[in-house]
Amino acid sequence: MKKFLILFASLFLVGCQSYKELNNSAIVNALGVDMIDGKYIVSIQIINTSKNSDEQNNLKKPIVYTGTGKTLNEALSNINSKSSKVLYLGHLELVIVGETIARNGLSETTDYFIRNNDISKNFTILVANGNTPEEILNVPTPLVNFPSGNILGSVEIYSSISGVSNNIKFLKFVKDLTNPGIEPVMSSIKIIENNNNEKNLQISSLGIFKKDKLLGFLNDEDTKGYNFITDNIKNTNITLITKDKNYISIAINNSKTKIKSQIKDNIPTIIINLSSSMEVKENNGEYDINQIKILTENKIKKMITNTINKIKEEYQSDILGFGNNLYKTKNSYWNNYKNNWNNNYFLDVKTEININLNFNNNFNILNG
Amino acid sequence: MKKIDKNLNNLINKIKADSGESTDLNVKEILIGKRKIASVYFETITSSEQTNNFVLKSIGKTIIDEENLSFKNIYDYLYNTIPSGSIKKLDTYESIINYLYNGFEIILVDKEDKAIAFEMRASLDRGVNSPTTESIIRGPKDGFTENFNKNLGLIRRRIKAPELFAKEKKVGRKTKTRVGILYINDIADNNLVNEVMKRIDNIDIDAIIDSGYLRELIEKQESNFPTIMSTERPDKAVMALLEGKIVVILDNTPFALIIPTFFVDYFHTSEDYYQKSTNITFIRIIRFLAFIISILTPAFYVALTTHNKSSIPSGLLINFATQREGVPFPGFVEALLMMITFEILRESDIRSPSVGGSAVSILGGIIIGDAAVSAGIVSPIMVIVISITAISSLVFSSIDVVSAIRTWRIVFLIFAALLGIYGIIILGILFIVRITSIETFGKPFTFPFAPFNLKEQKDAIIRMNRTKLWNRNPLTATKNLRRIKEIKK
Repeated sequence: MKKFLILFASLFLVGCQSYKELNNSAIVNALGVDMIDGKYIVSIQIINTSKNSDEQNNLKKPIVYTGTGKTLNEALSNINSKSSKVLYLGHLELVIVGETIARNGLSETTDYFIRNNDISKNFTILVANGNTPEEILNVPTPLVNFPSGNILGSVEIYSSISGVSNNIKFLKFVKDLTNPGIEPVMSSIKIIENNNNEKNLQISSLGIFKKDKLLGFLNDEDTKGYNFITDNIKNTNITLITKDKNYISIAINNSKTKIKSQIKDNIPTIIINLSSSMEVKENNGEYDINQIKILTENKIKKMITNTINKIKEEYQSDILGFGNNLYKTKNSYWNNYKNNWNNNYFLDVKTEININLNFNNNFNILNG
Repeated sequence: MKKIDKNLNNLINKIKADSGESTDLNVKEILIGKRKIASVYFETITSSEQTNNFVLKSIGKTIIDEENLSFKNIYDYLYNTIPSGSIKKLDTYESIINYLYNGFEIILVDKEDKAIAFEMRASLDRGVNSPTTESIIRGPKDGFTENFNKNLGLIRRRIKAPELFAKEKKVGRKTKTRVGILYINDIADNNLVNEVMKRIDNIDIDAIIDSGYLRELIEKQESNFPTIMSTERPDKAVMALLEGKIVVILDNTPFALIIPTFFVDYFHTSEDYYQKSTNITFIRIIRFLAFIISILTPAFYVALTTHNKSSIPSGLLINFATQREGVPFPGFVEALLMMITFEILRESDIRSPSVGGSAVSILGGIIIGDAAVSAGIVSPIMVIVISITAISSLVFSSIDVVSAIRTWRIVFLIFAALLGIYGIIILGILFIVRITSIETFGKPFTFPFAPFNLKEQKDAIIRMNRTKLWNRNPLTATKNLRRIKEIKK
């Protein structure tokens, strides 16, 4: 009985450690990290939970606090001294890293987020393209109650309907950072201004990393190519230009890509098999659908080839995961060539692209 | 045992003195020939009309001429002429008192040490009404009353087999309450019957006012979940009898006891068996859900908003945070405050006379639902939490279950406030340990679940079609287990 009582009492030793009233915590939904002169600049966006917020003003002004410090933790505690509530990071959903810190290396930032127990590891991570994270977090958003929700919504929708951006979660970033034969990427975000000087946020092209350092940004076309190869695209639109300078609009639906590898004479070949259904959205009748199909296939093939070439030539960073595929399937080859993969052997990889498109609705409207 | 005083005057004086000269004691002396006869009865519990019409008239008419009346003559005359079902010959003074106070009319004869008792009870009860505490939509509408015989009759009317045994005992030194132990002899477990009889025999108490007294005296285990169910419905009692359970009915209360009662019985109503089985399965799942909701909702709300904020989606958390903004109390205090207010409201609604009752509920509704929220004392979400909790607990007709749920709800709330979801899980384990260790008359309280019995699942959470419910509960019925012969469709 005594033993049981001691055992039972031990259940309560944890105490009220985690106790914190909701009223006393400031829910941090988005966080920006940048670095100036070796000092971290951390900006946080807090969700406005006060009832008296002016509902007439539908452009909700975000609450953003900024703090600096030699470490991330120091910067965050500096913010805490400014805010009347305790920062609560458990619902952090978005982290924006500045271009400066990204180019200098994200390993320390990543380390902080991995170590911090309060933070859920499933937040979206974006790199600021041209602006500082603080500026981005300060842009008011009309549609959604809390500003970061706007960004998150854009990332998700943009990546699912257009295939030009990727909703990269922190965990995926860390995985790509640590896995052999693959380098991480990150979607970028920038501020665009319209004629009335109203600021708006736009998800833009993919940032390429090598290890933890940002190398540059892919353009939209190459991002699409990247997403075709890595099977991140579901639906997208492709525009073809005919000889007579007419445009044909194609919708690609349910695209699927499978990657296989072969090794001949110690030179690996990556076989990219893409199958998808397509729809002709706009067509002026210059070509019949079979011709359009061939044109589209060629266009996608060209897109993919261009992307691969550009990555090889400009960045020498295997963000496509070719090395990872070899690591998984051709391990003996990988073990011999894994050193200096990005700068050397990755450039020699040959690719073979097979594209298989089907029509969803292959009827000709005009001819019945 | 005292002999009856042969001197009539002395005897009458003694009876009068023993009753403290009660005003309702009626003594009428008649002289027949040279014999003095006295009729003694309480005019409040004995029907005066009947005594006048039958006994006194008969005495006047039939015994008028005889000169030397013996007691036997008088007894024979009365026995043959008076239309009363129950005539008793009494030998002792104690028996006179006993019958007198039970509503009998006593005929005393001078110079005799014997007396005669007629059953002339006045009917002091209401008629058979529909039960007020267990209402159903489809099914019989009659309910038990305060009259022992009527209650027994309501059961006999449903079971016409001679195997329905009714044993009577008198409990209570002062009240001498009639306690009837009913069981179906060829189904019920004899050991259980003997155990119940033994426990009732062991009771030594001055008064039994309601079956609640008896229940507490024969229930062995202390547990806030009632292991004996009380019901106002004869159909429910009959169903219990047919399961091999024992039904105890008492005089002066419309609540019969069902022994033993399992945990799952509180999730069943008699109406479950009058409706389509598939629909009832859904309702039963809802009842189990309501049970869980009514115990855990405030605890979960407090745990999620104070300890485990990361367990809820951001949108919901923001919603909670916005609503809690400006509320001066911690979530735990807020919840406790609302729960206490609700209980006060409920209690006052029950106790207040029906004239003022509606005012209480309207006022309470406005104060809790609206004013408290706009004054910023409680958050709107807490009103929702407490309302859903309270409404869920009212799914159960048994007030005992509602009270038990309330106790556990507060304990869960305290654990949640201290330890968060971790605390809820710890207490959840203790809760399961607790209710599975309850025994009801030697049978496991949580029967078809723990210990698990696959066959009995047919009528636990789900209710299968009546054609599939072949067997009685094997824990309570020991004989004639088969309920239904195979039906060929």
